Amino acid sequence: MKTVRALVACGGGIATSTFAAAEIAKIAKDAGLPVEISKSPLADVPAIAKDYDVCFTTAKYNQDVGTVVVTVGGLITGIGEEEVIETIRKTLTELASS
Amino acid sequence: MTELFVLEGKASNWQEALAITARKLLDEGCVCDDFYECCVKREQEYPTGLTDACPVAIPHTSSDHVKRQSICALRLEKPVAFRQIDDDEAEMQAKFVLNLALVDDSEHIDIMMNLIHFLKDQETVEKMEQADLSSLKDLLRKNILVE
Repeated sequence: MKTVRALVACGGGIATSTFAAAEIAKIAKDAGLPVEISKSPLADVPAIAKDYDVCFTTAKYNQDVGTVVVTVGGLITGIGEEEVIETIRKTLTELASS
Repeated sequence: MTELFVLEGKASNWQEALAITARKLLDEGCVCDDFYECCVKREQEYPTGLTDACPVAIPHTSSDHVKRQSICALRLEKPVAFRQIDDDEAEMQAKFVLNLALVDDSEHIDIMMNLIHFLKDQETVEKMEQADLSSLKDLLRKNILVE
């Protein structure tokens, strides 16, 4: 199983990405998946996303940045949270075993 | 150590609401002179309104504009519209503005964890609406701040 390099981005890279990164780390740990998490502001994503296996964003993000992008706003708002958690788990599982 | 201020007030739009909280943080010496305009700019680019079910907005900016970690909470007489954090084309009505002045340290991680978990609790908003101002401050202090 390989370590997944995950980028977590929000507007400023300080508030909601901090929360999302901690939640994603917990999801990975509970699922026994090795994940390395970095945080960044959304503005930096196009330049650095290619260095990661997956990019999680807390806001809606439709730009093609050359890597898998998963929107995880539901972790913050609680709307559709279960589905978001399941998507995160599935994405990390697939990437770890690829 | 994070400082907490709790206010009540009237605003006719999100900029006015944000001006009230940013002014308080500036008067208390917690933030730099440009904190308000940086929060506004950031809000326009990356909005921070949660949902109508959780009528709270959490405007903030980068730590470069913050002197001391602090939060100013404003309970509004009438809600104002913010755009939504997860969908910037949608609006929500915020009854509370929690202006976050965050420093990039380990404490802010705990604060963000506490804050989001607290806001997701379905009883939170009702408690925040019904409490008098000093109970509201206690409620926020106990649930968000790191002792």
